[in-house]
Amino acid sequence: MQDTGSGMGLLWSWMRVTWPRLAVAALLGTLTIASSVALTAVSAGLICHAALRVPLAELQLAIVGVRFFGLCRAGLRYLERLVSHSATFALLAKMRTGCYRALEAMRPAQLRSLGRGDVLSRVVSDVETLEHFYLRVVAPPVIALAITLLTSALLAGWSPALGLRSLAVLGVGLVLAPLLTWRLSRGAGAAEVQARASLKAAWVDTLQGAGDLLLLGAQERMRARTGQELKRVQAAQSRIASAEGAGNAVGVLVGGLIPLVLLPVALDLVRRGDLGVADLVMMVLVPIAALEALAGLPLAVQSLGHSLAAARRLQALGLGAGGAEAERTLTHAEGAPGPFALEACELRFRYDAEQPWVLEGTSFAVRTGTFAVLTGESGAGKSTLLHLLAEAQAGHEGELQLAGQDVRDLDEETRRRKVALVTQSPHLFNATLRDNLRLARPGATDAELHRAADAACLTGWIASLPDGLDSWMGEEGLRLSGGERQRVALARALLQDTPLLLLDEPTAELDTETEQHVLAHLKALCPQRTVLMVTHRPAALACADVTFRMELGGGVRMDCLPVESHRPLEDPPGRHEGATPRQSPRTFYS
Amino acid sequence: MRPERRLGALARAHRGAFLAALSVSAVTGVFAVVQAAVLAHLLARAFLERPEWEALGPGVGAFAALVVARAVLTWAGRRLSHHLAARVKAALHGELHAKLLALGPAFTRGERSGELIATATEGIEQLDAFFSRVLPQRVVAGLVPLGVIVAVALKDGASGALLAVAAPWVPVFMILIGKQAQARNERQWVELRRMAAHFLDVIQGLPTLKLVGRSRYQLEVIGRMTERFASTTLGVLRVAFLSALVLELVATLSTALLAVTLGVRLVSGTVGFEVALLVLLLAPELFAPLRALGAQHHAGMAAATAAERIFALLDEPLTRAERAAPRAVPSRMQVRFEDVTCQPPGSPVPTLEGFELTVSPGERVALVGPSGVGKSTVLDLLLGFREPSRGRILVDGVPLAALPLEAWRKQVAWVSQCPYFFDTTLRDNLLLAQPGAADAELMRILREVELGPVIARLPQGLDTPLGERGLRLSGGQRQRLALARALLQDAPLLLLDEPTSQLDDVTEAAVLQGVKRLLGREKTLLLVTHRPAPLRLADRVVVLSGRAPRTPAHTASALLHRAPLVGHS
Repeated sequence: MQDTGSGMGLLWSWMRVTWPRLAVAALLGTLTIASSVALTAVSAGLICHAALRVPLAELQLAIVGVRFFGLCRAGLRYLERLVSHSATFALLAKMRTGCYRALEAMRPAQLRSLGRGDVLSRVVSDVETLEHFYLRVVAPPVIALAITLLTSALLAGWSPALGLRSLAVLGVGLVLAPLLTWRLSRGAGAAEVQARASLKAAWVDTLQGAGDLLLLGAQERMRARTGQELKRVQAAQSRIASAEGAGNAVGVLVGGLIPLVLLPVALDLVRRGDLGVADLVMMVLVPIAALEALAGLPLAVQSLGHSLAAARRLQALGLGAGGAEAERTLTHAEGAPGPFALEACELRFRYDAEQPWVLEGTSFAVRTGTFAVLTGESGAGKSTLLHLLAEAQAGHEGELQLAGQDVRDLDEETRRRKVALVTQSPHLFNATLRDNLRLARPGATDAELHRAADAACLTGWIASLPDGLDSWMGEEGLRLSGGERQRVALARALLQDTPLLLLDEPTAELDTETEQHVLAHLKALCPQRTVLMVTHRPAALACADVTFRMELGGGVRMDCLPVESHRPLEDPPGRHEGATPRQSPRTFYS
Repeated sequence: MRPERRLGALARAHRGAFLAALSVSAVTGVFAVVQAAVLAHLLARAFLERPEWEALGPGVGAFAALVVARAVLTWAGRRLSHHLAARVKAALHGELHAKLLALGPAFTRGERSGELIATATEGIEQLDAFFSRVLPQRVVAGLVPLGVIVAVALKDGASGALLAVAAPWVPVFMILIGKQAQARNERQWVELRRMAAHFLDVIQGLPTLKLVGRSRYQLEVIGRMTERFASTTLGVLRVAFLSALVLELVATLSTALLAVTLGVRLVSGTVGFEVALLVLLLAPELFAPLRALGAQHHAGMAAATAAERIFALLDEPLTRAERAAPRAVPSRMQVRFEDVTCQPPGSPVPTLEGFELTVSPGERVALVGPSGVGKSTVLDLLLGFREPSRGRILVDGVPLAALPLEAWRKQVAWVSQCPYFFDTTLRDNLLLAQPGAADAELMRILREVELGPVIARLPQGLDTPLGERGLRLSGGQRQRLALARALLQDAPLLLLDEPTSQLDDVTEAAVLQGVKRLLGREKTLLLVTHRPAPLRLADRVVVLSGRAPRTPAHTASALLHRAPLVGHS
């Protein structure tokens, strides 16, 4: 979260790596237009000399030149396109892996909060915006500048006065057209991006709230809102289009200005005998041919606005800033299994310094080999606690131990072998069911997959799939219900084969029968493994060895009260015991 | 109809904007030709007569005027083509919005929504290039080259003939090579999008990848995928760029050929200098529009792909045909399902089969059964979000299909599994259900759903903004607020879909007590639940089971005693 400045730094850091290819592409681009300019110069010279009735033999060189530059232009353009596209792909690969590496280094809590706000999909579209950064933004001005200088130098070879004038006129086009576009569309690019985000939000609301909108008769209200957002988008786009048009118009004006500025001087030189009359036409046509290089500038300015906005957003996320925090020396050692699978003591956690504590003074422990249930009001921090245990990327105060080891000391690999977590909204990848499951254990056999699927009560469902384990999941695949999704994630977690299994409402969307089946399997995992499950469901509470209740008292104060195992929950324990929270957390161990 | 043609038809529907944009583009193209002719004239005079600059006055004035006019036209053309694009996009946008709401939540919710949103936002945006760039450029590319050939031929038959022979090769080669490359090119384009999709997928699944310790590995995969894509794409591009190479070759070589033949003819004196210069200046103007058109190939292709998706949505048939003479909505809420089967189009199995149920006015019925058995489908059918594929639903003897949908929905209140709230204040959201309700009334209902203490803690009380989609509230709070909103609505039929799934048992019991009090004796209730506690609201529990399609009504007692309950009333 450091320098969130212009976004330029980030772009340069990516471009630095691929610069040789980019330089070659720019050189080829320059040479392409240069041959075009040369073709104009030579052919103009050719017909002027011919009009003066010089012997045909003297024209031979010009004739060869015309053909040569004609071929050159086509060939060079072809090469330039190949090289610049290859450079673009290299840049894209660099950006993708760079972004991914930075995101990968983030704290999972931070990642999840980004995911909720749709920030992650914006990262992807921002990278896509930057995909053409070289082709659309960098190349046009570089080539335009090179051609302007080359052309003016060429003319200066005949007469410095002509060279200077050519530089002046082309310079106006080089500077004024982009400047005008920039000035007229200033802020419009950012406004468009912002308006498009609001428009998208309005669509999300329309589609996700469609039922309620129809029932409340609020369709018109929603239509008005999306219409309004679209108007804002189009207002910004209109400014941008107008600015681009103005930039193009300046290009046209510069093209008209060239003969008006150069012809009087050239005529004067001819009349004074300082310039051969055969070269007169060429002096005017050459800078006009050079204008081709300036044509892409207004569009480049417009793309620059979008690219910078995208880069700024990426930079604001801390992407491309190298790595995240320095690696700590982490232990890989497997500690001897202690009496407690997990222990929390005076645990405090909040997502960032400005927000209130989500967990404040949480203390409890789960004995190894028990089936523990964590319940309590929504918002009490149950899910946060599970995520801290499974992801444990610092940020918390107090003690949090997995099998006797501080979670802060465990590296990712060790933690992965110790603890598996099924979240409330697990992600399924665009891949087959088999691959989605195997993610947790790459070499798993089909027999192992089926065993895990059976434990998650998926066998019947898999049999009903068109391609069984080879059925495609994710955005492009089958549409899974929430319950199916959670069970797939559960099977995946079971395959991970960890001593501790953390489950966040794994049966919330299951019917009673399926729930009983899943619970029985989970129960059978103990005492070889430890299970901690967040749930409100009575069936789960009933079969727990131990129940913890997290409470949201007053602010975010939490107490964990163990309930004797297998006691039917006729009375809400929280109502009685929660009234007098006990003070010494260590006595709450089951 | 091919998407491109249909896009063209859409543009033509906005006649004024369409004609303005295209005619200005065409006139701009013509002006470029005229400007070249005037310049040729000026240069020829300067070359042949070497006059004082001042002597060229009138010609220079005309030239300057032309340039200024063309600059203004260029600017106006960009504005007009943008205007055309904006008009068409806005029209499509409105049409799509109405269509998707008409298709209803049964169509739009779930995983599909992501794709629908992308189509409605980025998809429509991709059409922009078609209307604002491709379409005007096509007109220019169709008109200007012909004009140039005619103009050249009028001045110099031989050169005109040469251009007339050379120019057609451009489209011929572009089509020949383009056809060959296009299939591969398009596949590559799809591949590129797929790679972006993979990137998105991996990034969104990053927390999951970290949990299973596979996140580092994906870094290699992304790098490898991009590299492999780059190398195969470059192979394809080598062919795809050939069409551009041919275009360039034809353009530059015919210019070179013209220059050489003109040079030779000038030496022999068979052509005048001014004509030669004019031909030389005009030749590039012939190829420039074609080149610009080629540069927009990808934008046009992306637009066609996007258009295909948009049109597919617009053409999606509505399940419910609007009746010519709708019947009045009955005031008595006797609801009757007669042998109702519901099988959504494209689904291999029905979500509900042979369902029979009669709910008397004022009766409270709970629907239970395993997930996937069609409980929510029953509610969807009543709400008009789905249509039965067989059987019928009667409201006080009148078929539901004969009732005007909007009027019928006014009689129904509904709490869905994920209720929607506007990004306004708490009060506004409640008033949507009952405009003009007094604060005291709102507070009474909020207290009944156990939101009283929550509101009391809010410094702004009822004026508290709820945030986007009500996200400032917790899941449980949103659920209770949705209940309050539904109860506030003066609708005789109340549908509840898992109304307490996110509440802890203590709160649940209290909320259900409140709901019971508010229901009174008149409201008819249909309730779907997995949890035992809400069953206490019901007079009758209906068990749907997948195996026996015709479901008899069971009594609640067995279910009520199966699981221990928490929180007694």
